[in-house]
Amino acid sequence: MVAYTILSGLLFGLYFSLMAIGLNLIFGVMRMVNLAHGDFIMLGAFAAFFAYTLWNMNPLVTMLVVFFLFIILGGALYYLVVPRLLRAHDPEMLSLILFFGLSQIIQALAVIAFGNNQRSIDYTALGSGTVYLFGQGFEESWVVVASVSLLAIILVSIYLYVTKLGVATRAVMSHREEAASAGISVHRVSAYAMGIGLALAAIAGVFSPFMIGSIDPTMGTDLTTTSFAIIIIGSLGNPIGTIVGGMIYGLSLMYMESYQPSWSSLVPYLLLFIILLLKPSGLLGRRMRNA
Amino acid sequence: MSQALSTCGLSSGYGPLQILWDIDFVAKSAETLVLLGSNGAGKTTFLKTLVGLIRPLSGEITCLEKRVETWSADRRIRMGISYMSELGVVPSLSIAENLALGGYFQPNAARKTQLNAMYDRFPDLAARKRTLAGSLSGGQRKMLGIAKALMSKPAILLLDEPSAGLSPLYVTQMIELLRGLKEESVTMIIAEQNTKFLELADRVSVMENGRLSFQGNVEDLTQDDTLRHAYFGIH
Repeated sequence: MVAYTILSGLLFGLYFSLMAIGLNLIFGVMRMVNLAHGDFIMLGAFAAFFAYTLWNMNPLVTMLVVFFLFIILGGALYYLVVPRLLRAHDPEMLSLILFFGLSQIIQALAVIAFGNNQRSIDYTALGSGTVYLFGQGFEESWVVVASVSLLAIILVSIYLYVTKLGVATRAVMSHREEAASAGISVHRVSAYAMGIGLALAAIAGVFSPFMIGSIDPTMGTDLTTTSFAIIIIGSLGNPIGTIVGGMIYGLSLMYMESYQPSWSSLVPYLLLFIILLLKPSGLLGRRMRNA
Repeated sequence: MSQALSTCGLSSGYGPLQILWDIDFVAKSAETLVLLGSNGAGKTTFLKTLVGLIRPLSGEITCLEKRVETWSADRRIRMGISYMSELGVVPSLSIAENLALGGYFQPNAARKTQLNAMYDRFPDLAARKRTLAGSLSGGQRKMLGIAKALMSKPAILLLDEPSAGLSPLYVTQMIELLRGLKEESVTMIIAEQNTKFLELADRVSVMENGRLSFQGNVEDLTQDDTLRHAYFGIH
């Protein structure tokens, strides 16, 4: 039981890391909390549902389509909203209100478009077998989703730490004005980050029917809270810290689901509370030397 | 000498707060111009407006014979301006990454060549390529800031308080480094409070309360009683 709990916690931890990493990327670059993050996960989930139901499209194919569509959507949303916000007196506060409003609009439109009913995808769409890891059997779909999540996280890390645009992205995260004074177009870098952040949220949404269960248009609110807890645990503004946050969240959730299932919904709030009390900068938060 | 950078009636500030008032300024090609002024005089705002980090409220900026006041910072930097802020580096990036950032617009081959040139010029940086800039001492950080600013092979280099936070030894090193750049005919505008930098100056401008109160050479400055008292502490 302990081995199963730990391994399933790690599998789900990878998925939760994928779910939250986009939120952290956007916060890191723009210093704005995208309160509609969970709603983009919901849109990805419905894209997977309709693609599978109408065209029998494999969710892995849907993931690729959704990824590119949401990069474009994110870039467009950035240029539509953020430059105006940045000209405001208190852009961070205003962004909270604006993205909350966007969340409500997306949910309302989704209810109109998809109805209020809960939907689910045949769980065998990502494989019907059982995969054995260290002697423990797991649903094939969990292992596929965890593997894709791991690959996505590795690709995000390569983007941030190896590519020229990624180094520019980290420069903007660290010191916006210093990056601009090196000739980096902060708006262009931020638009890419917004696009990639929303695309990562949407592909997490594609896999949510296999990891979270049935989907509905209002599921986004809880997912935003969960994602926010994960990035606070790792380190707000540090996308790689999200992996630590996701793992801790996954392990805690699986532990509670195994031993105290009725308490499991408290996990994100409890972890958020504990981390904010003990290490407000997150587990990977660090300071720079000043002298 | 042709004009490298000039302003005409330049006013600038942060949102509704006006900091600079009607600045007429000229820096000629290959000239080293020291901009003196106390804290809050508007030196940093002036440099940031020149490089495009702050949009001017009114007035003209001409750089390398082009009107640039409406241009974005990245466009101005691509045309040959480089700016070292008081911080100078991105603290969470390594030395190598900071240098790569400085040469962001260059083609890969040119960037590598320039990177090697910087490592030759600053061997201390070459020995610690993977070290985070935020963990460097103040002096090392300034050296990295200069190297980062030079990565784009600028025609015009704007330096904001290069001596801030440095020990006297590092200040001397910094002056020698800038003297080397002066010999390479880089146009430099150095915003400073430290009058030691006047030994580099072809001309001096003094900024007070967001206005240029003096422009001339060092000898003229020392003959002005008020300025001599303010900056050299002598009567």
